[in-house]
Amino acid sequence: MRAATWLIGRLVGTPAAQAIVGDLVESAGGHGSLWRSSEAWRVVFSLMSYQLRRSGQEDQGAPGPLRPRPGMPEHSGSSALQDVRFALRIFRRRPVSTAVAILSLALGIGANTAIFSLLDGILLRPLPVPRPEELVTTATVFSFPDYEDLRDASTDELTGLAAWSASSRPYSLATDNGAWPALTELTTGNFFDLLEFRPAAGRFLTLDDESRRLPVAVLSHRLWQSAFYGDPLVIGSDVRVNGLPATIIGVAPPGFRGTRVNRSVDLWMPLSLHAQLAPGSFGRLRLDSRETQWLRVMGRLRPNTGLAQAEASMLAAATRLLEQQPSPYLEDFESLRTATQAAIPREEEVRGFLTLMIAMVAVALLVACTNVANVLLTRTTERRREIGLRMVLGASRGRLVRQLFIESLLLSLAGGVAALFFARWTLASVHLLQIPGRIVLGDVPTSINATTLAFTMAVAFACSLLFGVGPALAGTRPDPARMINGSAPRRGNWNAPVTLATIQVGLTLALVFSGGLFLRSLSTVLEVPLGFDPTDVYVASVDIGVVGYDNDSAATFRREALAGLESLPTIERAAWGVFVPVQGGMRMESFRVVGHELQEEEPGDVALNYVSDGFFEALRVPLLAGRAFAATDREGTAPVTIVNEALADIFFPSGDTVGARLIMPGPAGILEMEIIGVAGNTKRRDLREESSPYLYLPLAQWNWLVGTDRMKIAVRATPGAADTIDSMRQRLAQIDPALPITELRTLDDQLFDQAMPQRVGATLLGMFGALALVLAAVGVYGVVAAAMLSRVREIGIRRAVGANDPDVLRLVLRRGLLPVVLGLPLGWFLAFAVARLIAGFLPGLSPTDPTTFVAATVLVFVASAVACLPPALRAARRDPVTALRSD
Amino acid sequence: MSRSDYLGEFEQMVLLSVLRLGENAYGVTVHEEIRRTAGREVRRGAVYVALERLQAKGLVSSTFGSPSTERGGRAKRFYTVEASGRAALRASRDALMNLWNGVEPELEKL
Repeated sequence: MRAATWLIGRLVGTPAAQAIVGDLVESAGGHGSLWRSSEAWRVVFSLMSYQLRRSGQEDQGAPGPLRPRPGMPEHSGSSALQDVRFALRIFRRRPVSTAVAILSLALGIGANTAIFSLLDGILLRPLPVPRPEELVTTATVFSFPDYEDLRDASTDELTGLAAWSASSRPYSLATDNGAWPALTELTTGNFFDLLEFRPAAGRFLTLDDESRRLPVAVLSHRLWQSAFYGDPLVIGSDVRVNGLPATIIGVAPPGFRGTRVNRSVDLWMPLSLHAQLAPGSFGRLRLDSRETQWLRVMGRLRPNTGLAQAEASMLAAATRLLEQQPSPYLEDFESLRTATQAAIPREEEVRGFLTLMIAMVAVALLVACTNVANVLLTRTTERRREIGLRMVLGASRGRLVRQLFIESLLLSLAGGVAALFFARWTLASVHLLQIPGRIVLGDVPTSINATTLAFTMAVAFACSLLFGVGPALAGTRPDPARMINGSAPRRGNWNAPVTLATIQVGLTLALVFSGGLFLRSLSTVLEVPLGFDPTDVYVASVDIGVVGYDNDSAATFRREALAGLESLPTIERAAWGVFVPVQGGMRMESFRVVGHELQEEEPGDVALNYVSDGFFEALRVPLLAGRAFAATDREGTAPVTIVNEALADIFFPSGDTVGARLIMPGPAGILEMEIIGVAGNTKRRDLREESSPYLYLPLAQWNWLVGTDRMKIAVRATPGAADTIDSMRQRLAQIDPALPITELRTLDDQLFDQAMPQRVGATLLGMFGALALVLAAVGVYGVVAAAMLSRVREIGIRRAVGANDPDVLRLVLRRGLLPVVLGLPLGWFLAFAVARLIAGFLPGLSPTDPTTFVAATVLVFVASAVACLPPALRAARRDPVTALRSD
Repeated sequence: MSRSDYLGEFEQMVLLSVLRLGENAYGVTVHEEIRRTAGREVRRGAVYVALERLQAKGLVSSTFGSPSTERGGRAKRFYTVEASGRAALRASRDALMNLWNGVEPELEKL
């Protein structure tokens, strides 16, 4: 807000500004902090436009910008203000080049600010705790007894070791006013002690809560705000979590969303309540068993303990523990990492992706800066006469430099302010996008990063100083007479505008090329054969274990659900599956082909899926041989299975798949099954994956194993059916109202997410590429236009001695295309460097894709050549007499 | 009448408000007075701009009061209408009155 006060002071003088600020404070009821900053800025804006109009009016009167004029208010005697006004007048005289400079800066600074703000939210501050670098974790998961042993054995290195288990799906947090889904972390009592921050309200979980198994809960700040409107009275109130009565005891500080950036945890409760809270088979995990490892751990290093040192001693501790108490799982104790690193899923890929984006916006900023440099250089050349005149009239060099300095400052300020809006807009428009690691950008708490904004503005300012003041300064040294005379400065070996435009063309080609690569990759990804038809398919996740079904009632429910859904007129077919293509997840089981000796290169394990009959029809997975599962394949009938094409190709190259037999572990020892069909390959998780062996088992024959597990229900709707999601929800609620249905959406949406990295890359880089292209075209135009100005007389003479139109045109174009011809090879070089950087994000595409390469080159060349034409034509058409007379 | 002598509608409103407020005419009260009497939302910045312009034309003058705590220790800037300001207001009123003369029946017809 001090900026607004300062600006008002610049505009009307300090005492008057103080009076205005006083008015604002008074209107706000005396609360200095309360008067809204927008109000102040509106006043600034009004006063600014008034001063602008004023200086405009004076302009009409007479020349002599520095002469004090009658009628000027007494407080405008401040000469800095005069400089500002004069600068504004200069800008008004050259609206196009000023707009180009400001816009270039706005886009360059804005894009950088936006991307850095994202990076800051994702990579730099994933854990808003004091001294986050001391928090360490390992990728290993532990059983509770193993955790306890490790905790007690590592007290020399760590001030404490906490364990937690994160719910994979939201718990239900119910109050009298409604229920909210809340991802939950069940933690040991020392979890919050380790984080060392303070609750926003109430208190945190303690060791006492844990040992006494008190049903208490800590809310996230986000949920506190959205569900309880930030009411402090919520502390001590009663709620029900998955049906268990519990008391809210505290609220976590704002910005703390748990231990991973790609999920937002809203509730923390004692780990000792796990058996009462956790649904399904998960709730049956026992705290006193060493058999299952399911807890993540995090510790805080004691001061002056290095990561490597702590890792060595903890590994030693783990080894000691193994000697006393054999545990199969401590064996693969993995190396320590900082919790900050661990908070970012697929950290390397995320880091790489964001680095790439930053490289790109940095290039965009460079292009923008070269553009500003060009505008200013051209302007300085044009203004030689004015500067010389002012020197003759007695202006000191200091005075002139200050004038130019203020012009540069204003230019970068204006660019910075516009950049703020652009950055906000960019952040708002990417919030739906997802980057690698399944981080939804909208979930990342981003605020415009003030440091970045300041930094990029400083870069822009430095750039405008360098090219605005530098040459002008140099220009003030030689004799003014020469400058007034308007002669071009002596030509050096180095031509700044051409060099700048060359760099611009090069950088632009690199940007356009990378954007093109992402675009090509996006279309390639979208053309990948999926092995099924996702159109009109809706999938919901049904968590039957939460609400107390057993295996038999679950099977009944599933049959009723299918019948209920298929009775809807808009639904053609419904089916259950533990997994659905592209949604990920997998189970592996060992298997053998009967009568076949397993070869070394053949897999002994296979990924499998348990599906109801109708699965292949609902998803339109083609059956290449044999038949699909039928209602008759149920418990008690002969065990059957369907294999995918990849499995058939490996084990049955001669094609006699149907009728062959497989064995795998069953309910009572080894189970032998007949292969009744061969299905086409489908993408399990990732569009990039290669096809691998896959086995389908009939759900009805495997109910004993998967009975109450979470399952997906997939329905094929009639094309164009409306409200399918609602009618599915209603129909399932009719069968069991208490059943939590989650992730109900179309498979197409799911696929949309799948191509996200390419989409983000294509969107952002496409934007930056287009932006750079425009800027480069303007840059080339500037070079040609400036070259024309300084050679008007030469062209006039040439024409006078007989050069015809095409000669002149050729002369001009040769000059104009020079930066293009020099810039393209530079661009090729840069493009290949960039391509290597982004190769990892471009499945199925050579990073030196020739089509993209040629297309980008042609695009940049044509855009630059077109930019040359207008000034070239103007020069060619110019009457030689006028041209000669121009000086 | 040259351009700079002409009083715009808003300038008239500001001048009249300053007149009405007498010795208590400063930013907040002028803004408030215009909002109250004209019955419409007025941008604060517009008031300051008008006051600046009127002062540049010499129609109003201003003095700074003493700082007060309710304003965060900042002084008020009090405005007074100068003789030329009163003359300009009179001229504007007379010009308008002349124009109004005899149009009432015409207005009624519509």
